[in-house]
Amino acid sequence: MKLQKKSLLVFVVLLIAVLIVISVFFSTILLASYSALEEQYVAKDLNQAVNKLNDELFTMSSIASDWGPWDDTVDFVNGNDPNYLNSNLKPYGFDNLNLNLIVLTNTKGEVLFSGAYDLKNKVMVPVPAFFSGQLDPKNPLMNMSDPHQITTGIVMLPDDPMLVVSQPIVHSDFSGPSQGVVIMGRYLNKEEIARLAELTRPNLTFTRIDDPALSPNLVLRIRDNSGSAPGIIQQLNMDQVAGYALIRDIYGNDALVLQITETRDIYHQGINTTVQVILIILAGGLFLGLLVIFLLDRVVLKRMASLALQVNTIGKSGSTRDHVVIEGDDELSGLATEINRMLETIEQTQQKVLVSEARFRELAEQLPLIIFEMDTNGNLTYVNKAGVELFGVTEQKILEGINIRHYLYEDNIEQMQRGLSAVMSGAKSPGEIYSLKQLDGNLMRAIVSTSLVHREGRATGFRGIVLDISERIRLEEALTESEEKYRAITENTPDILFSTDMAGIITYASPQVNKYGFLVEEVIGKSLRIFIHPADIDQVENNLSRELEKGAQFISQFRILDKWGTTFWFEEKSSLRLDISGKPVGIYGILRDVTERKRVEDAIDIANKKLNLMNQITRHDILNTITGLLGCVDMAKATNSPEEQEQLFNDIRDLTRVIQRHITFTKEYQEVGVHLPQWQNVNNLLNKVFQNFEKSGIKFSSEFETLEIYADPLLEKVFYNLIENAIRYGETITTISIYSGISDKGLSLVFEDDGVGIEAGQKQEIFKRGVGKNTGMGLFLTAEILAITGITIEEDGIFKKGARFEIRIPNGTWRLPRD
Amino acid sequence: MGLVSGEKILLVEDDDIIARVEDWRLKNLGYTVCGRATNGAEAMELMVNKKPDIVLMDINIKGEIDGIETTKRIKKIFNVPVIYVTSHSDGATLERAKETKPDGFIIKPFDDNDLRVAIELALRK
Repeated sequence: MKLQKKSLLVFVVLLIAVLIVISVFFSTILLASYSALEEQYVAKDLNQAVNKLNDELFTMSSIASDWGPWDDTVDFVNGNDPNYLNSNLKPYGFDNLNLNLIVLTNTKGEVLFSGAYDLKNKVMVPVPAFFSGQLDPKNPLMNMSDPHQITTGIVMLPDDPMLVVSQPIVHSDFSGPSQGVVIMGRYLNKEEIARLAELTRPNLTFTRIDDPALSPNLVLRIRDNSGSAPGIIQQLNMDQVAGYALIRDIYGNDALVLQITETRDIYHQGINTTVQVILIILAGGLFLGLLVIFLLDRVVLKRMASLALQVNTIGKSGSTRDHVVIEGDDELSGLATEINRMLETIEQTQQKVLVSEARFRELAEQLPLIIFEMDTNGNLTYVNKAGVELFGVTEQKILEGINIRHYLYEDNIEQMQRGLSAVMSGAKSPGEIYSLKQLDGNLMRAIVSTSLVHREGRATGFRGIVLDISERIRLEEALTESEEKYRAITENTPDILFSTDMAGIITYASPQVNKYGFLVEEVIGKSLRIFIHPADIDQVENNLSRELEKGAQFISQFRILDKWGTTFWFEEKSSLRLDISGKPVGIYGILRDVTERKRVEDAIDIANKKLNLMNQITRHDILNTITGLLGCVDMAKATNSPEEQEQLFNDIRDLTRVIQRHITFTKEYQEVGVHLPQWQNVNNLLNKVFQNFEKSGIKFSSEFETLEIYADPLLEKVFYNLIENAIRYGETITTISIYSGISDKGLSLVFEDDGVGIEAGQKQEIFKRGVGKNTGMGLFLTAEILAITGITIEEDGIFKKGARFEIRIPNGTWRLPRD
Repeated sequence: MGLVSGEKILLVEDDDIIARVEDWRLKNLGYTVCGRATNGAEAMELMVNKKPDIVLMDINIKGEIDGIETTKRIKKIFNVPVIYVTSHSDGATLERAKETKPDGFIIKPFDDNDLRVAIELALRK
């Protein structure tokens, strides 16, 4: 329904409703007011009627008050005035007084006179039996307690009720006791009632309380209301309203119901007024309503309808470029402006969406990944370009209907179903590996990830990505194969293959470490440094740092102590391991046991050294000596002096002995390094050497634990040379002490004497070849022998106090043998 | 003998016997031995003080610098011929010695003639 019609309908309905409400309201209020007013008037009239009745009684009381307190009446009652009756109680008296009854009694209630008169027919009639004979002294009419008090009321006689009054008979001056009562009565018959009605209201009736014509409910209501203001008001019908009052007799019993009946003029007036008001309201409301509708239509509804039509047109056309036009400067025009702004925003958003959609579509088409969509049954609904090329899923095939199962191998279908079920129930797709059949028949291993597609709040299908990992799997397999191959190689090669991180912590070691007493687990996680011989650490680290800076492969030789302390020479060839960005992340290396080669090299080195030395000795020292020798010969030949000749011949002999000693040295030196170093018991060797000097008179003291040194087998010669040198050069020597000391670098074996010692400037020189009084080779040989296994020797005694030779044996070349 | 006119020769030799022999032979040949040094430092000092005409240098002298290094230094400062007297004939030593552009080599053991020829050749350069 159109808004206009709706508005009109609503307005009309509202108008009607309002009018009805107002009408009802007004009618209720007004009519209620009028009813109340009517009741007031009726009550007033009822009251008036009751009062009129009382007035009649009052009038009768007045008459009785003339007759009661009267000496004549007293006399009559006392029997003293026999003419009283003839003088006063003639029938015309009743007529004049408008009474139907006069009764005179004495104090005992005996009726001394009673007369009844028919006012209509104007004749005397029999006195009602109620007033015959003797009245009960308890009769209210017999109340003589107060001569001023007149008893009034109604007596219910069999024919008609009677208005009665009773005045005590006393003297005219009210003195003396009451002598009786005078009772006057008037029938409340039709005539009387009619007369009363003329005085009050036309419709006045009296009904006996026990008259069956009276409704019991009415009687009940009248009795219930009898205590308050005079009676009840009851609407008899739309035209009449009645008022009811309860009249009691002289005994106080309910006797009569006084009813007045009136036309409902006030009420009718109220109805008329209400109708007029309603009509006025209706007319006014209608006019106002029509005006409002008209204005509403012109100002709002038509413009709103226009706006709605324009918006509808735009909605149907879908063209967000169009704008709505509403003139004016109010909320509707403001709404139009906002709608236009919204249309612009929608237009811009649409453009953005189109651009975004185009972007993502192009992206989807360009991606090497396969993107697809399918419905909940697995029927493909979209595949991007990559998917079309690899699997041949064309638009045509999609339209014809192609299920994804077509591209899966049998054993993957159940996997797919499980995966899709999980996604349907809200789980995230884990991206599982599937085997897919490509268009060219090849197998593709791929990771497929899916997600649920929701449209309008419900799941309509799945969207997925297919990542081809065939190549990756192939590479992994190749890598595994390669790894196994290299593992076989590494485990079968005698070299130790290792890798460390940039901090030098071993991250891998091949099982060959077992050969040296280490388990692979013992080695991994530890620094390579702790396995390197302490004496070689600096050299290795310096070399490493230097080569690392160049970024080249580096080669280093160093010693490693095995689990049992045996020294092995290793040649390390390492290269930097770089990450993808070229940053060094560690070192790969090979450790080749070159102990044997080193021994051979050392042997060759020593041999070369000895050859060079011998070369020196033979070429230089001996030739030097021969030069001198030949010179002495020439000089001896040239001189004529026998003394000079003898000196020269002595020189020649000495020079010849020198040549002999040189040759002897070469023999000794030849032995150095020929045999492999071995562990030798120092204590045993010393004891053996001491035996050579038993007759020297020197006291020997050696205090140290049993000790073994790894050295050239000529170690005994070292000890011999040291002791011999001490004796030869010590001059004042008496004691030679030999003791040991341990430091973090190794063991020191000290030969200390109490001889003259060695001058400061000679401490280094004594170890050079040719220095010394003898051959000059002793300490040179000593140092050479010790150097075979890296042991050093130096002299640091105090000149003139004694010589002190300290042999420093590095860790790994000494031990305390187990018993 | 006496073919030379008394050129001053500086001996650099640490072996006493050889130095005595050299001294005797040079004097026999008519040369004047203006001094004898046993190490490189002494040799430089005598070069300044004695101003020899030629130097006979033992390659294998003791001290901080050997005969070859001493010769290098002499050659830098003085324009004096230097003849090596050596028993070495190994290639490396000879190459080192050659780099100093000596004025001759005398191989031990040597006689008067060896000395004379080498000195004369050196002086004529």
